[in-house]
Amino acid sequence: MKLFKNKPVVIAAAAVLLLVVLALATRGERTVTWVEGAVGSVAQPVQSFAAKTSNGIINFFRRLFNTTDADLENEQLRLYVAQLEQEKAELAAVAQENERLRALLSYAELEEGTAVVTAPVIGSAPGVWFDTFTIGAGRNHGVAVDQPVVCAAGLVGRVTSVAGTWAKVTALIDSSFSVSVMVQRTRDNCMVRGVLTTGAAGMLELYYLPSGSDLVPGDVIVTNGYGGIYPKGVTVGTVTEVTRQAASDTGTNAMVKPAADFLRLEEVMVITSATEQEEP
Amino acid sequence: MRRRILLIGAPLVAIGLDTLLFHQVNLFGVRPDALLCVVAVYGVLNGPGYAALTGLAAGLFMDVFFGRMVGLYAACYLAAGMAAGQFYRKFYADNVIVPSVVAAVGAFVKESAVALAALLTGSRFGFFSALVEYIIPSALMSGIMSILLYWVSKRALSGQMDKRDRKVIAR
Repeated sequence: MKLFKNKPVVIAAAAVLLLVVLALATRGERTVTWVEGAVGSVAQPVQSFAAKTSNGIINFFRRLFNTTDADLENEQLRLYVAQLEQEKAELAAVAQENERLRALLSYAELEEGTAVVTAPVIGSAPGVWFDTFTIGAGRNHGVAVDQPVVCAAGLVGRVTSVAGTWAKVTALIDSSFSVSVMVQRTRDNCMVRGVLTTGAAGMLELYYLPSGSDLVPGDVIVTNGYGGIYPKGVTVGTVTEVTRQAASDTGTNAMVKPAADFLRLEEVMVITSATEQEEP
Repeated sequence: MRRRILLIGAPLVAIGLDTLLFHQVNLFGVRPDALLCVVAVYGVLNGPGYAALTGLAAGLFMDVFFGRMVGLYAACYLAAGMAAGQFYRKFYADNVIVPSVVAAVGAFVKESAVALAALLTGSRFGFFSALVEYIIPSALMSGIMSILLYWVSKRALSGQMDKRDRKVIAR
């Protein structure tokens, strides 16, 4: 009871209680309030500078430690493989749609007049529980909630809240994220969802695969355009392990490695055309 | 002056570490909570007021800019600061065990709370496997990091008096 006579402790406990209530009230998707927008806009340039500095330092040390012959050869081979994969994706997209933009961005079947906004990644949520990150472009640049976010390799996520000069993006690998996809080779529709991993790289689970589907490791998974948020044909990832062939309600059919490298994400593109089309 | 720089600079550096560096540089995906270490060490060194306010301000910033719920990080860091402040001037200054244990326990409670919040918002994972694979190792890392931070802060603040010390001397 002595604790309750301690005024600062009582005030702090009340504040914690209020903050918990606030957290519960704001747990769903919602628009950013003007207070949050203002706080974020003031802090955004500082955070952008910090992000650039941090990336510079990390890249410097990466170059410094990648100096042995084996490391350099490994790096060159990795670049070569990435280049080949990129060329393969570009050729497939050109053959399907014959459009230069689709090949460059590694996704296909975009509507006419598609516009993208390039934005730097200026920070990520701390810890492993929420795979969300903040980008340095917002409402003033044409970014809106539910717009898809991509990088050159493929799908990155979806915009979940927007302020004037910044926006929060929920990553594809977030464990609350799911997207309707199809197997590029067999055209079977299914779903993928993020998996919470404490390890370094994020993974995806593939589920709702039709019975008897011929899924093999190495199959490329792309969006199927259902739901209207993500354009059809955006690369999501590659199947690494097939765990179950038959469809079931909740069972996982395969593990998918995301195409985007979420550990080294420095810049992303927000596809803004859908919102522009909706405007009168 | 040195005191002010440390009081303002340390939380900013900690936010940078948590949101930028530890995302890329970590030990098998496990990372310490630098901001919680700062708040815990502040609480033990400067009392509950400083620590709770620092935790509240930095936590709100994290909530607005990076969080999915507004108030979650602020509540965790405020509570951690208040709890750490209860150990202010209650042990020998050379004792690094107290700030370390406070930071580790604080990190454990905070990570558990955020994990539960993630489950509440639709994330799917096994809480007990997350406890073993992430929460406990992360809490231990935070405890170890706070030893280093406590040692650096104590050296930086040696000879620096806060307002309360000055008032006592003036009397």
